Amino acid sequence: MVIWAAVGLVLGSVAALADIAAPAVSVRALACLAAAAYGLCYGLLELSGRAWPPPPGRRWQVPQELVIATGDRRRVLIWGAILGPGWLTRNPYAGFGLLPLLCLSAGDIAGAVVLAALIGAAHGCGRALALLRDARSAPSEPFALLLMSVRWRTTDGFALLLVAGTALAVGGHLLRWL
Amino acid sequence: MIALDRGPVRLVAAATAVLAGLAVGWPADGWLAVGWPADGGFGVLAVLAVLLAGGNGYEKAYSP
Repeated sequence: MVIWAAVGLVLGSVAALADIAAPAVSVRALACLAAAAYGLCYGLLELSGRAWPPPPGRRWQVPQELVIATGDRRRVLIWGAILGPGWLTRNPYAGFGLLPLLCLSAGDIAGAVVLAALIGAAHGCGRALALLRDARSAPSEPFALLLMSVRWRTTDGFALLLVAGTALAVGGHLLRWL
Repeated sequence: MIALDRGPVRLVAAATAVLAGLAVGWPADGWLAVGWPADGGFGVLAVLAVLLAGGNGYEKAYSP
């Protein structure tokens, strides 16, 4: 949540500075249209089952030795700073890449910080709930995991298209197209 | 149950998702006389962003 709030501060500052530098251009509207374009492209890609182009992001995964057989404090630090926020590790779903654009579409610093903090809290809670679920049940077989991943990719694709439609409506309204 | 893995069904479902998104973000002073006043559309977009973030965090556990 703290890391996401810091990201929101940076994105909100960029939006505010861009509005001062070029008042005729609405950064909010452009961010909404960029979010709509991203959502439409990756939503359709995820629904079609194509793997290329991959969603933007890193390929790195936390090495097992950093989490297994290590102290509680270090484990909490790794979860809080790396796995919870989700910026540094591999994420095969394109939905994550849309989130910074949506923070930028808040248009001002306070709005971007609040939205980013809420996004960070939601993402971290989602990760924690998945961890609790995994701790209660037996580990899935690799093929079942792969099949589940395909289903989640489809769900992510529909979610991206839904958000793209809303971003298009909001961006179009800001530009007085609608 | 509708088979979403069939191409045409999936295409229709995709178009429905985009239209549903447009409908929930539609402004009151747009072409239609119904919708969100002032910044209400952005409020909906923000709520969707938070839901997308929560779902993404949860689904990431299924990445092989």
